[in-house]
Amino acid sequence: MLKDNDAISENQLMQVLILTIMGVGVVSLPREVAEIWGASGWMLVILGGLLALVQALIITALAKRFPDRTFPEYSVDIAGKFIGTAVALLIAVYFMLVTVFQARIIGDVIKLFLLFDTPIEVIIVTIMAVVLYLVRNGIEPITRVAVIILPLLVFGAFLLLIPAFSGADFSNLLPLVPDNIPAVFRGITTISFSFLGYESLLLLIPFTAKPKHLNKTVSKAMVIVMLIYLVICIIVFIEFGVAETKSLIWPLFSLMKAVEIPGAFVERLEGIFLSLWVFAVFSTMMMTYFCAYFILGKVIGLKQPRILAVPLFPVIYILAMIPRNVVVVYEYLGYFTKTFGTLVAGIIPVIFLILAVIRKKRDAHG
Amino acid sequence: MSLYKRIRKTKRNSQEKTAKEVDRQNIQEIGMPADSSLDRNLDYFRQQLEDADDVVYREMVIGSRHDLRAVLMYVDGMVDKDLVNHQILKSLMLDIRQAYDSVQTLKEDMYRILVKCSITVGEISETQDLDQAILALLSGETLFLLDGYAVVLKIATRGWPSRGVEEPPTESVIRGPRDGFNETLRVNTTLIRRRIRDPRLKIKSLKIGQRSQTDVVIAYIKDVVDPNVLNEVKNRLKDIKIDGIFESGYIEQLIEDNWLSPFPQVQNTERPDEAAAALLEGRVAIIVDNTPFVLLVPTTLNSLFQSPEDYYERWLIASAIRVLRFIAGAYSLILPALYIAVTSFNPGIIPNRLVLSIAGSREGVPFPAYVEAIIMEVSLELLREAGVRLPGPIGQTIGIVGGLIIGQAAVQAGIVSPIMVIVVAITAIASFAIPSYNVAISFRILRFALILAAAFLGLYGLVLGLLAIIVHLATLKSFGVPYLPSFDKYNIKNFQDFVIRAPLMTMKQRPMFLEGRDKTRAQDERPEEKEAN
Repeated sequence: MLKDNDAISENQLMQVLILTIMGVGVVSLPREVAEIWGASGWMLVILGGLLALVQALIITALAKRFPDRTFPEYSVDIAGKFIGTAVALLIAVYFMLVTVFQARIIGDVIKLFLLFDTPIEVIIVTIMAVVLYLVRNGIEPITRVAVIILPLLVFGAFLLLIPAFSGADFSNLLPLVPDNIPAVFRGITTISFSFLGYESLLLLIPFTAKPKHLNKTVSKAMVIVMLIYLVICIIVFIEFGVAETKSLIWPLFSLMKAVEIPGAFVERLEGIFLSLWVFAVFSTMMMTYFCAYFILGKVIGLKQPRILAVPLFPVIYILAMIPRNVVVVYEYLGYFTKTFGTLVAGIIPVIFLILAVIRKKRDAHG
Repeated sequence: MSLYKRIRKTKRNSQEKTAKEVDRQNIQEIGMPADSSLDRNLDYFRQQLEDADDVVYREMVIGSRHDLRAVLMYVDGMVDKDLVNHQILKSLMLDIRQAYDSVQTLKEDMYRILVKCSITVGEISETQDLDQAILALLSGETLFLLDGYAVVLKIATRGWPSRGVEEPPTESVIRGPRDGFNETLRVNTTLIRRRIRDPRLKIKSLKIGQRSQTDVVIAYIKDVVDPNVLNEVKNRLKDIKIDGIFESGYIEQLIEDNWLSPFPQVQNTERPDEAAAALLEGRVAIIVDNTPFVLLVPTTLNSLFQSPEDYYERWLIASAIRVLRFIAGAYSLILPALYIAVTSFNPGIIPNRLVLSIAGSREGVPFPAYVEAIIMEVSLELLREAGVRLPGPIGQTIGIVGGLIIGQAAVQAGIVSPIMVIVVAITAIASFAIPSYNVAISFRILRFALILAAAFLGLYGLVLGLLAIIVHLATLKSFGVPYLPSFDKYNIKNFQDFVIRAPLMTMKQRPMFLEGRDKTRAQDERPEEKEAN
């Protein structure tokens, strides 16, 4: 049997990165930006995206210093055995919890919109089983799935969004000059959380074979996500107006419920949109699940981290069942991203990069 | 658990044992040296071929003084009688007398003279191993033994009743060559060789099957083939331990990557043009004696959606047809499942009037939609299977009786709704539009899986089922080559022979998924463009 070489190309890195970022966050994004900055909120997407881009490039800079090793392998070099291991473990737990949130939110949404009588346990277990089937085969099949899903998602989403322009009111985007400038500084980090997923670069870059333009690739992926988010926010704003957007938990689903295609066979788009959204969440979960078990395996020192994929399954499932309802889930999620998200995606890479530069740690051909 | 293990263990042991025994037998069998005494050789043959009454021993004496004993051996029915009678027997018994003098003078080298001067057959070879001689005899060659010489002459006189080159029934095309492979290996290699007159086209033969000793040929083009794939094919063929190969399906199952997968990882074809085109793509063809089905590896999903006709029609038409075929694939996979998901879980997504008409037509049907779908699908599969087993004209009757009468009666009896009949019928038609039978059949199995998924979890179940299929395809490999097209960029080159079939002059590269050396298909521009320059 020929072996997988576990290597991906830069383009595949980009595809996987885009898919990892776009997940459950996108459906609630318009509400979040509207809450912070009102009608000018869509501009906040750009600012938040730029902040996320800077953080992604910091992670890239760190990973580029150790092109052939994953984070848990070089964190020990940078920060010493104890702190390095502890931080790597923290990141593994972080990825696991992200997977938990994804699983729980998809369970809640599907139960609310598609399967009213099905127990949420079944919804969560089934999608996780498919994710597990994929991730235990390593990074290469993940990229091959990404190649199929990405065009489906992008074209499908835009086909669904185009009808939303009918009856749109562009004056909802006014005023163009934001009034509450200080709110931006509080809001910008919150919005950059919507771009979380780029921290998977810690693991993705070591798998990339012969990277040449990593910064460019990563920037491209971030900008593409930013543009998609921007279009979604603008469409939701022009359809609903700011005041209504604020009151919706998932503005994007509401939009899909409201939109009708005149004369088309399909009357309501939410079913189709939800199907596409399952693809999006699936593609986020596949990466976070992979990161979780792989980093954990490396921390423990396993040669084949994939044996951890199955034991993680019940842990994720049980954790996903803890919150009582959607409101609690989003409370937890907000708290979680504020603390863990900032730490893993923002603070840890900066500190480790500074430490690596100061202590002059880098691998030979880095 | 322990019982299960023990059973498996003993099973494995016994398998190993038999394999070893067979090996030992083989070692014992091979290597019986020929003797210079004709009688001793004949005794050995008679002993080995005891009770094999189809073996003919033609004893004769050669020379004017009738002092040189010789024997001609062949299996009746497996040789070209005309060749044996006129080119061998006549030459040896009659024509040789004309060379009387020289024979006399060169008596010591009688054998050489006979071989060089009097056997007027194209292909001859020698062996000193009697067991190899028996193998050759049973493959249809004629043996010639001369008294006093410890060597057996093998004369290629294979000729048996075989089907002619006919149009392949499983892969018919409207435009394209009408010849198809048949059961004779040599005919098949000839059909390929006639299409590719390249000295770098290699046709390596080997024998597989301890008892059947079936001829198997690996064909490839040396500087185009991916060497990794070629080695993998050779290794896997070498590892086959089985007593008999009667169809290439045996080999397919013994060398495929994942035997649990519903998808075929080896393509088969009856069409020499398709095999030749595959060779030019850098793939390896495995041709097995006694079957018209040639195996092509490695296989990717999209090569199973292609028909050779795609390349004979003009590109626009071919592309349209190929898109149609992908739609057919999607239909045959998801249509019943989609119907179930929409009608029983999420009727909201289709227009109200349609919901009403579906509900109206389902009024009085006692089953839920998925039971209805399974009943109809199973009866359709029954009809199809029955149609295959019955002789041609009756098969059509079954189709009409089953399709029209039972369908109509079932609707009138209120067992199924008319829309379900439409859905099932469209699904069946779509599955016939998939050019390769083994993909169509795997889609049929997966269709039932998706019906169940949709019955349990509606649209969500359908999406998860499709995701599971995508994931399965992504993990699947055929001889180290990913089963899904593993391009990493969304550029036109990767799609030129996938969903569409780009104009031939733009397809200057061989498929990217294989790592052969000669990447370029065509370097020249189109003639018109050249003239313009």
